[in-house]
Amino acid sequence: KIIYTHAPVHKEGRHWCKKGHCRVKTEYNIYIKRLTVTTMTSNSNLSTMRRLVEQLKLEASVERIKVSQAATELQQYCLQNAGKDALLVGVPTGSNPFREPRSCAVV
Amino acid sequence: MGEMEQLRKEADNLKDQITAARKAMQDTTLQEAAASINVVGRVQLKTRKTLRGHLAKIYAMHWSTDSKLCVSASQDGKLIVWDSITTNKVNAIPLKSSWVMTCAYAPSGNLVACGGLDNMCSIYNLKGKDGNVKVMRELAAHTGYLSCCRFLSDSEIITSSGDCTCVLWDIETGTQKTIFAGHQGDCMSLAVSPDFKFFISGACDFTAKLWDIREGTCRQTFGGHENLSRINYILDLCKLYDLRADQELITYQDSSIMCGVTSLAPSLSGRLLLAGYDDFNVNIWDTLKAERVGVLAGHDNRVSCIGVSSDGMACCTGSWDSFLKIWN
Repeated sequence: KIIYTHAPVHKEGRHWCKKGHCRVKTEYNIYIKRLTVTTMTSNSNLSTMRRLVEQLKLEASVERIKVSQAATELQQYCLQNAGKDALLVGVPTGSNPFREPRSCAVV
Repeated sequence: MGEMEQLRKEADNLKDQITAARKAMQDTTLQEAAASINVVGRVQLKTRKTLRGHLAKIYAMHWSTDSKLCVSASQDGKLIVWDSITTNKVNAIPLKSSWVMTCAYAPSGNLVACGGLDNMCSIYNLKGKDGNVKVMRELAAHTGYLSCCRFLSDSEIITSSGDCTCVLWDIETGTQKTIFAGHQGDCMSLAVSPDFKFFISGACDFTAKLWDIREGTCRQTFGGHENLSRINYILDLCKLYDLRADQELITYQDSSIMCGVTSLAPSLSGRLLLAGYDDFNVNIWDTLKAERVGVLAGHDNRVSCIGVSSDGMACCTGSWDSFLKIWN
């Protein structure tokens, strides 16, 4: 049995400044993805195996629909809601809460 | 044959059964089914606001349901609640532990939560009587780091942890209501369904699991049933899975992209998929056609988190460069 862990690790260091002139001390932390593989002893696990089999039986019994139906309904949902999707169709300047309306000079 | 050997054989048979059942539903691909629609036009979003104030890397952000306020968590040991329209800081909450990895806004807007390497989920009440924001509860029981948390209501929250489990907590009593065990690797993230009945967890065992919150059971597992005999290298990919067809529909990849995805957010209609990458950019994908239709470039370091507001008006990105940007 294999267990994967992703433990965050910090690392500090120095690096050359962009122009290559000097060694600037810059603290930087990197989260290194360390995928460590740990093998568990198989002794623990007659009951775990039984539970795994029960879980697989549950997942095998799931009712599935055809990809064609899923794809059609996904497309329909996207198209039906496209009009309300500001990131997709844009939003007029006047009604964009994140934009200051341009002030017009009154002559 | 010993019972262990028998069970192993049964497990392998069931895995083959699931693979076959999924294949039987593959009467077409999303690519073929969407062949007749056109790719969306180029999407060009601009930075409308920059939220400045954090002094170190931002690890997480979450919009409030009002689409105006949002909360961000940074390694500087602060949780900041922002008014994204005025860019004002509504609250700046100092944390006991600066190693924060996640934050969440309750749907009601009354509470925020965060957690990280302290293995705890701390709940803060934003609407306390005297106006001060204080820790309301510290949910401690995980034996690994807190990678993600999401509120179901003011009284329930779900957390995912590096101890390979997800937990449903009763905030009032600070106790675990349900433990969702089954992943064989660190749980890294979770997402709750809009009806609050299910949630999906993603883990380092390369699988995503769909859980029934009330039953406490795992209904479906994605990405894990194939028997992996060897793993050459880890390639960070973006895939779309359909829950009812119980399988992968499409993969979002491009030969020009050589780095990993850190965060994802769909637009309101689902037609656009915004994904933050290690190369400091956000790529915008046409969900149905799996083609890149836009890029958000503006951060000077990795984009660590992304979120689209509930009304779909804007997208917020948080980065290791300590800034949050609002785009639309």
